[in-house]
Amino acid sequence: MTPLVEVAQAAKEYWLGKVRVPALKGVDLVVKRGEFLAIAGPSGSGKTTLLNLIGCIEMPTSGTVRIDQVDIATRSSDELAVIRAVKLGFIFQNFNLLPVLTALENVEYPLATRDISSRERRRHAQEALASVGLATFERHKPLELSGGQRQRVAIARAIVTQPLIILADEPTANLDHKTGQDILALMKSINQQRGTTFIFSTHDQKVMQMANRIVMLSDGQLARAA
Amino acid sequence: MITLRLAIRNVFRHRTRSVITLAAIAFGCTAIIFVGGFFEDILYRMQESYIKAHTGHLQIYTRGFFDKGSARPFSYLIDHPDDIIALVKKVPGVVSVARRLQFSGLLSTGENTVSCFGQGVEPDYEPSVRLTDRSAAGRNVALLGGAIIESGEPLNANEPYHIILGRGLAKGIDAKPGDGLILVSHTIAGSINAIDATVAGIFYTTSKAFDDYAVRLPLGTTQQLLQTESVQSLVVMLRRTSDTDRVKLTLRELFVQRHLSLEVKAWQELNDEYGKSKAFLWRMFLILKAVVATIVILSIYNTMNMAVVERTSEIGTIMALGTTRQGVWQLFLLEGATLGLIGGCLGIAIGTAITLLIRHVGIPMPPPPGASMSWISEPVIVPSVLVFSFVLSLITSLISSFFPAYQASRLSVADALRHA
Repeated sequence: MTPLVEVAQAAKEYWLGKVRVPALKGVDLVVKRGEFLAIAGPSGSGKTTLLNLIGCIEMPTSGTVRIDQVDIATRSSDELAVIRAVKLGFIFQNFNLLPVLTALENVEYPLATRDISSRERRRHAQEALASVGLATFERHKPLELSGGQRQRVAIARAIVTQPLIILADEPTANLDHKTGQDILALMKSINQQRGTTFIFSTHDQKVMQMANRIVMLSDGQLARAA
Repeated sequence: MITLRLAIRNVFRHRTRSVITLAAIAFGCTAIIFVGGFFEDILYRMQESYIKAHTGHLQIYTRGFFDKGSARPFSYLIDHPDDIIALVKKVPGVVSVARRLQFSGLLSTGENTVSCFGQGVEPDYEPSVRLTDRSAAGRNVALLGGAIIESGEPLNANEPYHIILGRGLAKGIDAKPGDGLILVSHTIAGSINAIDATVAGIFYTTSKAFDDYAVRLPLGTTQQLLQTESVQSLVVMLRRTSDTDRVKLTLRELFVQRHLSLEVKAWQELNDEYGKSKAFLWRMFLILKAVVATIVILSIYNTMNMAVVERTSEIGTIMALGTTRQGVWQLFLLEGATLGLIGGCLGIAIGTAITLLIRHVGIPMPPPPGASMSWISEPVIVPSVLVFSFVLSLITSLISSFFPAYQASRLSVADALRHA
């Protein structure tokens, strides 16, 4: 089967003023369809940078990143936006919901650019919200929801477009242990039921245990794969 | 649709800030609506009082009088005015046509003799208004008619030797109603002639310079003094001032068709002061518009700029979710346009209400330069100014949102997401 994600010798450097800071130093990674993959490592190890490269949010300084066989370095900013809209879903550590929109509207937002009727968009969003157990919270604004509920809305927002891959950057970091476990269980069930590939970063040992595969990063380099 | 909802809700996210921004836009619109209506009122009063007191809407002369008549006024007389009057009266929109004959002369009380400017008029067609009629006119006495009779009586066609004096002239020779005067002038043949006249009343107009020298008397008496049956000009009054250009054009065509050697001048051409005042006031209005536009632009720019900084993380989020740079740009422009739209509507409502309130109360105004008449300004609502203020608020909102929107659209997604 063709790999969904191919990262080959990917390096990423940042400039802090005149100081060059290497965040990733030649990482190789292949992710297949349906994987539930954890990228683990301490803070500053390059987890978020690797997720950003896979998420077409940043370009590698050197090396290549292919998403569904597309080399992201060859695509324009607008083409990458389309890849993100169609093939990728995102879950953030801080939930990143739009505070002025209701839970349902937040879930509906990624469908805004799709060529479907507003009624269809609304139906898809309602289904996604129901699938994360928040059918009765449609009209709630993010500030009226608990942390766990907000992350569920974020998951519904990530799955509403039926992406190939969902990228989650420390999805449980801002949640208590029990809620974090529930969120991971939800992600896992979506992975199993829909076959959606999940790639998430974490430094929590218990979270790592839920993954099918763990990729360890240390100081911008691949430490080992489990 | 959801983008529009997002834009509108973002506008009201920080209510205090949005209210201040909307207040700035509404204040700007209000200033434009009020000042526009105030200037329009000034110009309207200036125009109407000058038309009624001095020029009429149109004046008809023998061709050449307008350019050369001041040196040889009696060389350009209209010999058979009645036929022309009958012709002009048939033109739709014409209310009256009055004959005039003007001259320079001397006015003597026996003790004092001063030079004057005489104007023979037809009292029935160029009536004066008594100051005591103010109650009928409310505070718009200046708009009622031409000359305002300060004391005494207006001209009467049945009293051929009764004359009225301009306020400044009467003061100069210490004349009052009932006094007898001698009016001396050259006849059109060049000899000297004089009449004994009685001062019927003292008048004033919007022009102090005119009031300092003018004496008005019935046309027949003037013709007797100058020993002629001709007149110098025909003063045409119209139903509506806005008909001036149309009637002028019609009259010109009529005169050409009938081979009449006559020329027609509109009130704007006869009143240089009005044109200059209008240009001056509209230039001031233009400056006000520029100041208002600048305030609105800076105000919205500040609001939008703060929104971009505060919502950097959100911008990163929506870009990560697949919104293109153009989509981000449109979102912020939409927010700016929403501010402009609401601010413009508020501005029109508040501006109209305040202007109508001030119109109801009135603004006491001193006499304009060169005039002697105080007046009460009643600012009007000018539809074109309402539209302009609304369009201005919308356009300035878009202009001021443009750069912050562009900045937002150029953000790096990763940097924006990292923004705390």
